[in-house]
Amino acid sequence: MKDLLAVQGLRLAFHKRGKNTEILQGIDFSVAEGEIFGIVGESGSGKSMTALSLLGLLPKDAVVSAEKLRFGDEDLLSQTEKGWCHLRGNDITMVFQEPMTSLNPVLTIEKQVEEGLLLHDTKQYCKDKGARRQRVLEVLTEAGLPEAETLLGQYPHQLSGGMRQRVMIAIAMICKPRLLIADEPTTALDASTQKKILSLLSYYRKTYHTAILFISHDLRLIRKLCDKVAVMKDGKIVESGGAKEVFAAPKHSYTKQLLATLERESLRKPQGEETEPDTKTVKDILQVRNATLRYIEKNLFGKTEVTEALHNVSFSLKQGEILGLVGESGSGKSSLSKAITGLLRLTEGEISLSEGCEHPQMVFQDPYGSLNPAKKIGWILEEPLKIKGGMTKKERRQRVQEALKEVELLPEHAKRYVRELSGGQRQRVAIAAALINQPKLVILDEPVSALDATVQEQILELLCRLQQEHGMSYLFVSHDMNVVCKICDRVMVLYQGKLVEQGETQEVFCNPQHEYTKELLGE
Amino acid sequence: MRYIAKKIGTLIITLVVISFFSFLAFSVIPGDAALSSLGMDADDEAVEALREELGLNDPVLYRYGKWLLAAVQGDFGESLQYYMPVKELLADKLPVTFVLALYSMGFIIVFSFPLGLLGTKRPEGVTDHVVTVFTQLGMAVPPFFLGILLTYLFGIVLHWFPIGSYVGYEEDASAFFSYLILPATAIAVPKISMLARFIRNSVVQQKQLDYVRTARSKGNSERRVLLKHVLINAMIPVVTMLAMMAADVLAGSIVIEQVFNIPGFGRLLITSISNRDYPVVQAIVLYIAAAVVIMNAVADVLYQKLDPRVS
Repeated sequence: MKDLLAVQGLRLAFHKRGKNTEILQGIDFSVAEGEIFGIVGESGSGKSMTALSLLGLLPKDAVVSAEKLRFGDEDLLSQTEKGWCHLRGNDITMVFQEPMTSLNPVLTIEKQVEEGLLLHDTKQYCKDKGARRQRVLEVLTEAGLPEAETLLGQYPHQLSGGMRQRVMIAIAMICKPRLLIADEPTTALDASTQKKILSLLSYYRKTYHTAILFISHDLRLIRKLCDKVAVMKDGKIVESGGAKEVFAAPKHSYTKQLLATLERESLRKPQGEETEPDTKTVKDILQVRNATLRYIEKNLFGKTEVTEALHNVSFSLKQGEILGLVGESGSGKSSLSKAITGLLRLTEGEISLSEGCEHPQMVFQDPYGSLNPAKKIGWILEEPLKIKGGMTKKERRQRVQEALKEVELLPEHAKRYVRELSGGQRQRVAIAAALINQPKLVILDEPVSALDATVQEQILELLCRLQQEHGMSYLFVSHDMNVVCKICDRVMVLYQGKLVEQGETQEVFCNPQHEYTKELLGE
Repeated sequence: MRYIAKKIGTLIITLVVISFFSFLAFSVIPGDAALSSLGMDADDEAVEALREELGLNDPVLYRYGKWLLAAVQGDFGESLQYYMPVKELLADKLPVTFVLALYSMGFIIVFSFPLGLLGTKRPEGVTDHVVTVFTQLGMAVPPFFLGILLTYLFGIVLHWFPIGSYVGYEEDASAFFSYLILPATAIAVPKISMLARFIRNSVVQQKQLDYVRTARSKGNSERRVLLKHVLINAMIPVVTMLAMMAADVLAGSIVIEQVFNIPGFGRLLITSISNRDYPVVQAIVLYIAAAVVIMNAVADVLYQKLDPRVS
């Protein structure tokens, strides 16, 4: 097979205020026509930068050099701005990680999808609006959006994350590119959507012979999809080859480590067996009985529209227990956790919290968005103490230092701002803020979904340790079955506002009863 | 449609509330219209008789209701200092001020966009820094001082524009508009600087968002990315800013009219306030308020048109 993309000795560095930071330290790989090539590695390893350098979309202060960087007959190193504009969107296209923000919020879906045609297929489509619309509908339907007609006039905010990502894929495919770069295209999506997007990518390869450069931190996805794989760490490719060979017999220690985290089943098991809690004496810390939640909205014509977010949900959470709550986006997970923290009121039913845990704390998915960017970490951690009152300034500072130590951060982190921390460190701060008043119940809303595999593992370990030390209970909300499997004692599955399955983690995973649970587990 | 109907409803309520409070203000602040119209030496009986005649002794709410009813029909009563209907008094003054304000707004819109966009190609680059220095300078100069400066430079030194010889629109339209160039510039310069800065920041902020990267990855040129993608998004906060500015410009023209000797309602407003000529003040306040409130309503509707997320 002919090489479509050939990369040799690709180096990339940032020059900032005289400082030189090396991102890529000479990487080699090649992608053949119609091949799916995977790049795997944790965030900061240079995966995304590699992708952006293939499109000439690097930040302005980046300096690129390479022995060879060729796409077909084109030399990518010596492209002019005009040359890039011709290649981008036409021969090489890209799908990004963030479906929620990657589309222009003020343009209709039709405008955004058809733009590629206007830019590249000038002769055929520029004048003929009907033909253009026909092609847009075709590509949207192909991307798995059956009701394409109604989509045309809609705006991104009216679509779910999964739909937006399909629109992004439609945009990328409309000119039938020779190479599609997909940078973590499914990371922000739930398990069942993830699977569908992967099969969509396989379909494009088969139908249009499009080569795909698939970038992910998730080994599972790479293993399912890719023909060849390169493992990246700290700006270097440490191992590469056929996907089957690399996964069957990893040579480099880092690849082995990645595979090991994948196969480790539960973080909680060993401790759990030592101290088998007596189920009779342990009290319920949270009881939810027949919780039903309806959103009532008046539409334009004064007609009331009722959407039921939760339907007759009952469960209880014991002291010292980690209870998993799984379901795809829109299943009612967020509504339930908001109801427990008192942010939403139930339409029917009852939520009772045991004495001493009236104020459950929350940790959110997006630590960057949920921490005040204008304040230092110390201030953020001190605030809940101030609100609670009853402590002197010195005692508060003392407590903040303790909390930082508990989440394995350094004392000097108190003087930093949120933007100066990495994703993992930010999530540690969010956890510290939730724990600072020593709550009995913490609700963790997708706490590790935005993090890459190795950091995910570290945060989960931290959560387990803190839970053990303080005897807290967690309600662990997630769409990721693998994470839930690692940390939870029991699992509940929420589907369209109803609790369709609940039980011991092992049981649910080994012997799922409900169709939807089976689908989530990818069976 | 429903949205616009709702806007008009709130608009009317706002105007009624504003007019009521400005009415109330005159019955609360010290000073007496009858006294100031007859002079400080007038005897008590004559003052009392005039108060009765003007209806100043009636309860506030009653007087307000009477005034509002007439005002809705376009009758703002009679001026207490000039003894002529307010309507006639304002007839030739209001248009002058509004034209001046519109003129200034035109300058602001035409110049602030190019100036604001100039530095966005390379934020923190040389052009950006030079523009920043100039806009900061422009913001720092008060309009009345700029007015004096402009008069000196273009009028006395360069003789490009006539000074102090205002010509009415009816007499000579082109002379009228050329006379207004300098005052409009004086009002506009600080606003142009402020808005250019605001546009620059809005565009630079938008350019860092993910959708811009998507636009580039489709093969859009830098120019097209700016025009077709960034600009519409960047305009959303600018529209609100422009509406707030319109109110400021109207207030600013009152001061500038003094500097350039323009017979707008600026001078009339000042003398009417000091003479407690409340029918005149009432009418002017209502006109200004209406202009401001309407501008804001237009901005809101425009905002909703630009941003599909607002409903």
